[in-house]
Amino acid sequence: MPKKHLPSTVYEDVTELRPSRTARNRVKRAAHSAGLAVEDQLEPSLGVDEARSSRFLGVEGATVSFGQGDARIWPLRGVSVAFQRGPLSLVMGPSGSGKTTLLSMLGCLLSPDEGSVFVDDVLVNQLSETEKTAIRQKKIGFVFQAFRLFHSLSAIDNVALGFELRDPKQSQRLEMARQLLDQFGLGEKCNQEPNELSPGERQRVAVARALAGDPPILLADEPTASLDAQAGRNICQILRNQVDEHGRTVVVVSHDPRWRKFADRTITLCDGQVEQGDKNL
Amino acid sequence: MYWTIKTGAGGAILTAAVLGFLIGLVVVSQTIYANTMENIEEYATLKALGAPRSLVARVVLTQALLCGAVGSILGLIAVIPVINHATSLIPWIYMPWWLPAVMVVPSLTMCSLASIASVRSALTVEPGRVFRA
Repeated sequence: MPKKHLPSTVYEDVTELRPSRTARNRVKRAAHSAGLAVEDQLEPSLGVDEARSSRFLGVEGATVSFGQGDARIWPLRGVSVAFQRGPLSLVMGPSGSGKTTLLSMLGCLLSPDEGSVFVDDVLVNQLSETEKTAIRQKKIGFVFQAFRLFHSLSAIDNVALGFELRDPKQSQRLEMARQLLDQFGLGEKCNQEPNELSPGERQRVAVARALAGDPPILLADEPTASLDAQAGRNICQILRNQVDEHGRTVVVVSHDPRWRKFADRTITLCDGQVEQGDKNL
Repeated sequence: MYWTIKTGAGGAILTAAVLGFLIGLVVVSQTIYANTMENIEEYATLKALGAPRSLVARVVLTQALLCGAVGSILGLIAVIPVINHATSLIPWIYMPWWLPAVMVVPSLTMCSLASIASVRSALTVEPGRVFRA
């Protein structure tokens, strides 16, 4: 049977859906059974998709410096990295290589001295602080090494706060927070305060807070660095599921080699520059 | 009003009240500022998560007003028996029943003014510090 190409209209729809790997595989199977050749068009590493989403999230020619005079340091020097919709990207590198600086820029928490930062197809380094705050609020979930939970609030209130920040009019936020904590196996501990939870449980609460309100982008800074092996694997799997089941774009900065098998792509930074990229894609 | 404005006794009491207000302002301001700085990392986290400036300011102000409300209630509980005792000893003292309650308003105003420095600190904290372990 001669191979047919998927009509462009179908491709447009698939792109608009921000397909996860699972969704892409589902479309591939459906197309295969219909005798269509779609693999190349649906593969996110290839031409058209790259062009369409290369500005979804990333930096172009970004240079960042801190300090003045002899004490001036350059954590990033002319770095260009693009993250597409969907995959889990791992950013590795030695201490001081600029990983966290890169994540800060992607999270609209730091503007480069030179270069551009794109978040959800918007050039953000020209925006006001209020506009950047709005982007963080609506588009980005953060997971931190030190959890950064509010200690005076219970687990459920921490997660509900995530919903409240994204949608202050949301009246069902406590119920939604409870459902989210249930999904992460913390249903029975939802009324406990963070200091009554184990580090792994705290990080799961932090991930739930980051996911509250369904942000399309999740940025994680050393999310397993404070956890034991089992808790670390749980967090890796939870973030992997966000990509596979929800089509979220996840960027993880970590020294932890366990992340390699969960990541679609590994970017290695060294001395403020990209040393290696696209290792696993 | 005559005793308050025209006589030395009234002037002294008024000056004491103004001084009390100013000293209270400084003390409350220091307390709220110390509390804000103690929790400055949490304000940074709140900002990093996308909290608008108005929400951050509201959190600090609410804490200040709560402190003021609790302090006023405790103050009233302490002062009402003293008023009753004083009026029983000195019959010509005039203390309308509503005056202690009305004094809550300047107390809360004082707390609001005292929180200005703390609100500024919370608003200017760098949200990027959340990535420091």
